[in-house]
Amino acid sequence: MQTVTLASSLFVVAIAVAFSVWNNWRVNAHLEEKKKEMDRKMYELAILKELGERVGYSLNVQKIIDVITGSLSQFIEYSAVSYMLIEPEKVIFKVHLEGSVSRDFVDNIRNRMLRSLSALLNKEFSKDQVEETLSGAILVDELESSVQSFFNIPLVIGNKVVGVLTVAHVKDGLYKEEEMTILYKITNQASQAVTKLQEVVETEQQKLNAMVESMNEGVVMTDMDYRILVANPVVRKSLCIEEKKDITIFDFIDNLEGKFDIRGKLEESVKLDKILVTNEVLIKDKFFQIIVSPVKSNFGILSGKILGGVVIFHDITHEKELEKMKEDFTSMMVHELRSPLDGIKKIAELIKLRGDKITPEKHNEYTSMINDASSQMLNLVNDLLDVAKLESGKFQLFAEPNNIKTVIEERINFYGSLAKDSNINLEMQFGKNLPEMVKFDKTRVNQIFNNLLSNAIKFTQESEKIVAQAILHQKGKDIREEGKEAGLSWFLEKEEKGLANIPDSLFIAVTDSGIGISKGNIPKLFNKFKQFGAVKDAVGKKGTGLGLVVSKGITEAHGGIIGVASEEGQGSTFYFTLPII
Amino acid sequence: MSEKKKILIVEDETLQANAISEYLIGEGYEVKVANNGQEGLKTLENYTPNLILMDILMPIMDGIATLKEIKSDPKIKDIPVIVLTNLKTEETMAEAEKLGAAGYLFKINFKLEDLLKKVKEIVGN
Repeated sequence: MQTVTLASSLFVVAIAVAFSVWNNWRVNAHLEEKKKEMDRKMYELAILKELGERVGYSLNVQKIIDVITGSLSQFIEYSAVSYMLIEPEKVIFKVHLEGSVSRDFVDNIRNRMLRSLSALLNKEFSKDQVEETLSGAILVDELESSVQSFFNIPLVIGNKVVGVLTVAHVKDGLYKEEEMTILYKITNQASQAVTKLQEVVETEQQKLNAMVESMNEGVVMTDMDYRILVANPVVRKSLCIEEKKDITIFDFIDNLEGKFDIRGKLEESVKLDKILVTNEVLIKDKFFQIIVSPVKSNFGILSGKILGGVVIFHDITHEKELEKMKEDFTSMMVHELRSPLDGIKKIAELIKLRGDKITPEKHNEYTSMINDASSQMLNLVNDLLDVAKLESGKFQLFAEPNNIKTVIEERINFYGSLAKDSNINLEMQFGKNLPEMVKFDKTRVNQIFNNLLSNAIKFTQESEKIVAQAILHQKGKDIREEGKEAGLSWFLEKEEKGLANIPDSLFIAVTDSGIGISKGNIPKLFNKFKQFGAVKDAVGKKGTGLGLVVSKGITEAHGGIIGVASEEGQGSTFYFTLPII
Repeated sequence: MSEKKKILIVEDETLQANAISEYLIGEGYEVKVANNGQEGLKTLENYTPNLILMDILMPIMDGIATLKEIKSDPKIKDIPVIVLTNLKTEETMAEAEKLGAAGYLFKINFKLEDLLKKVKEIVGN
């Protein structure tokens, strides 16, 4: 009986001990478990933090995966950790060995990974496409090692499979759920982070594109290998580069026709880290100012690194045209002044050489010629001075109350004899209610009349007539109606732009029945730079060509407008307004 | 009595044309004046001068174009042409020479007497 009791109590004790041991073990295992979990969490966090920093300035997928595999050995036992990444022309295969294995081992892993890639992408990959890199322990062929445990994870970025990640071991039975869960989690997080970043980059890229597309300047941006990153519509149009997907630097070189060494300039700009400006390059009959600048990153650790170059094509054709017009204008004015001066010099020479052999008639003739030439020059100088004053804003009006009727009558009288010589009639027409006294600069308004009347006489044939007209214009009323009411006949019948919103003004016109002016030439009339040939009048006297320009200046200084309505072959009506202040 | 030598002046600046023509008439030449290249060619249809004095800068048809026309017309290509110009550009001078101008004078600094000398050189008195 005692033995049975002893046995049973021993048994109970054994069970109790076993139980407590088991319990202990269970508790320890539990603690162990908890510790492991915490370690895993720490690892996760550490990896994710580092990933975050890396992904921040590099979307290099390979580098990211290197980070992941770099510290896997802390958690997962493996003989080899490897990954495969799909590139356009090849498959990158990187293997890191914890311990030495044989060549066969590596080949085995490679083949299994290729198989799973093929399955994932429904595409065949061959061994020849694989570019292998080994690191860590060395291969020892004599070793009898075979792949006993193997785990494979696809790498997905932006919903696309870009590769696989693998752990393999010569021992079997490894790679259970808990280790694999952590691997899944990490690669998943990395995937998401990269995808998100790619989206951000794409949005920013789109914004940049939108900005560059809408610029008025032509913009081309290249990377350090002269690959075109950006080429906006303006630059394609300016250089006549057709619409195609893959523009290369050679498209630009071709279309620049040797006028600008774009590659050379980019190289120089990047090398010297300087902005280079080339003024006035003529490409396909347009003038450009071309600016080349290096493009630098100022973000994170890449701050200061040169990423490529940008070329800006600034179209200055219009400015060049303006410059040319100014040069032409200056040469023409110089010529116009020099000619009469030259003439005067020759007459003086003539008189000197002839001495007392000059008859009284010849004497008169010569002095007339000198007089005319001098007047011509004087008029031109005065007009040039007026134009200069108008342009610099230093033109002054001396406005006083004056009677427009009196002014017109005086002018008509003055030109009367000249008109009579050419058998032309000068007439006047006044509207009713013409105010007696209006403030304006009499001298300057006379100048306008001199210009308009002498022009009219120049371009009107014999036995035709010229009429000086003046009516009161009331704000809001139609000029043409007012003209009809006053019984005027002029060329202001059709719709004239700019006649819409005129305040109460004196509306003055000079109507002739001369050769008229074509529509195309009308804009040129009041423009200093565009003269369509100064024309001599009946007595061979040349105008300065600037008369209308000055008349426009005087009118606008009064706050009025000036213009012309004309029928080719029939005649013209030059009009201007003087607001009633 | 020897016939007067004839000179055609093609010049758009009336004042200068008049001054030169007055002078040459006084020196015993017969002078006609045309105001531009086109008028000049027209005059040459029924008038054969011994010498042509031609301005370069003229409206409608300039001196070089007129010179070309003259030299390609067998009837008048042998008439010597003296080019009068203010333009000192080498291209114009080279072109005038190539086309066969007999000489040139710069308007800026030529004296009437120099002109006379050159005229006498080419056509005599």
